[in-house]
Amino acid sequence: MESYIIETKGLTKYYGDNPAVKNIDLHVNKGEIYGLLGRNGAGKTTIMKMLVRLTSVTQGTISMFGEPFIGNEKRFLNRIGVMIETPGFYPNLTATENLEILASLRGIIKRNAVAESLERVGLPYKDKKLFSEFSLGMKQRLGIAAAMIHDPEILILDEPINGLDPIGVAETRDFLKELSQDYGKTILLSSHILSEMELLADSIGIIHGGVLLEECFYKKLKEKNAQYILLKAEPIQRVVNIIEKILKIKNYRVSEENTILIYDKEAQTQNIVKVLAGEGIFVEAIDKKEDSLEDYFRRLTGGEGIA
Amino acid sequence: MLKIYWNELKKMKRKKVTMTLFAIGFLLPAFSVLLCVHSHYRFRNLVGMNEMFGSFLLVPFLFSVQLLSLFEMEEQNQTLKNILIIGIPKEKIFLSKLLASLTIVLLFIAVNTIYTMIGGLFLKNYTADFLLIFEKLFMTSAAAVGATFPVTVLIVLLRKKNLVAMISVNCFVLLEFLLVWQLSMFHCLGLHLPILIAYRITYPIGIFDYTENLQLGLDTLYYPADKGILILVFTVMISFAVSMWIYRSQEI
Repeated sequence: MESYIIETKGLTKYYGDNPAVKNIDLHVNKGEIYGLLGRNGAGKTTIMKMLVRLTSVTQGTISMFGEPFIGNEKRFLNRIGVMIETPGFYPNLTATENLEILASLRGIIKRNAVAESLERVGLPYKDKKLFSEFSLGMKQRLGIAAAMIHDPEILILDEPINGLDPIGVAETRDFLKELSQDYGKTILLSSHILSEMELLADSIGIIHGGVLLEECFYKKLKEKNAQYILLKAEPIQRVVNIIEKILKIKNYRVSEENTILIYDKEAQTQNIVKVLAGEGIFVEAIDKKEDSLEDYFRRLTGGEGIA
Repeated sequence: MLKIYWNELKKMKRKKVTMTLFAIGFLLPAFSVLLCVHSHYRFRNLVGMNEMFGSFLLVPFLFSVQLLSLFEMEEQNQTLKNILIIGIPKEKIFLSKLLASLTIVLLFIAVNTIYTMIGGLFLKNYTADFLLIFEKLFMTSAAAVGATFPVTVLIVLLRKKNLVAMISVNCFVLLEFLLVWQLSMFHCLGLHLPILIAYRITYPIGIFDYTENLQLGLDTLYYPADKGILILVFTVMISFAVSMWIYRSQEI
């Protein structure tokens, strides 16, 4: 049996009678960047909070490093770096003072741990600027620095690029890739920014309404949904009937712009045009396209976009 | 534990609430000193005044507001999660915050003692014994803090609503002081409230310059010390247990 660095089985969380997440089976491999993708309120943060025991688990189990993770055991938590929701720091202290407190609480004895951590995210060491004077991007960087101060094996980052400027986004992306590729760190990150997930993640878990709809390697997902046929013809209802009954195509969906996206790998454009023309339907446009992650997400979540 | 406590103290750096508390703690005892010096009172009057206003008004105020400030800063800035993901139990966080607030109280007692000693230089019947005065102020302050301990339940319950918590905590402290101040009125002597008991059992401690006039006070205020201490200890224990239980059961 394959051993995952993070694995959950039937992870469920209820707030009162309302389920926040239901039956989540998460599988994160060592050294990969796993992207948890979902709309705001889908349950990404709740899953992350449960993983580090910031919130109780209603049902289900969590395994970390191949062992069951039951309480808030330090032996696990010392190997995990976390940044959940907005980075929380003391506004009356500087970045260095904030990190020194965390380093001291973690029992880090390495002398320049704080300086190294700040340097990694491009923040100055011993700067006199207070946290309350930081921009959103700087706060986000400090959050990442705090998550890495103890050189953890796993990094759990909730929306790490939120509030970063384009250069900051690119820098963070490169930095996370470097951590994963060069240092073998496992990174579990959540985001609702699909384009970033496409550039970063090795594996993707799509969560919607508290349910993990799909989990797979991004490469496989690309292969699986590499192409589709975009068809524009009217009247749409008649076209749909022909597609289903004559062409026997089941894997399709009608998009918002009254176009039909056909995912059937056997379907061929020439044949579709020929059949539709034979039925007296004028094909306005037909083209082979590549499915983006957003298209896939929409299809999986029943047409709802990410934003 | 010591590390967590030390970091709680560090968090107070540049914090406006703490700076205001320090200013109040440093400035207010000066008023009673000036008042006594100006009126040429006896030294025991100054000690009594500093016990009344310092130990039974300022100490509960400093303790409660500082404790609230330490709890609410974690809520407002969402920093509690940073500590919890390290694996530090909530009990230790709670205890370290209590200890940090008590440290402020201890500092104030020292300041109050220094003021009292300086004021004494200008007053009649001055007893130049720093340790004796410190001990008297310490005992009265400790009793007052013990009686004020139920405020920890209020703080833990209301810490997410800063303004409501601040108003409630200050009302609690003010009400306590009014009861102590008006002890012989409004049938207060019939009430077995912790703060009144704290004042009544520590009243004899303040007497080091006995007069017949004070015997009258003793006859009126006397409360059995053993029973009083037991009530205060139970007050602290129950408040501590309840607030700790609430704090532990609250999710962030």
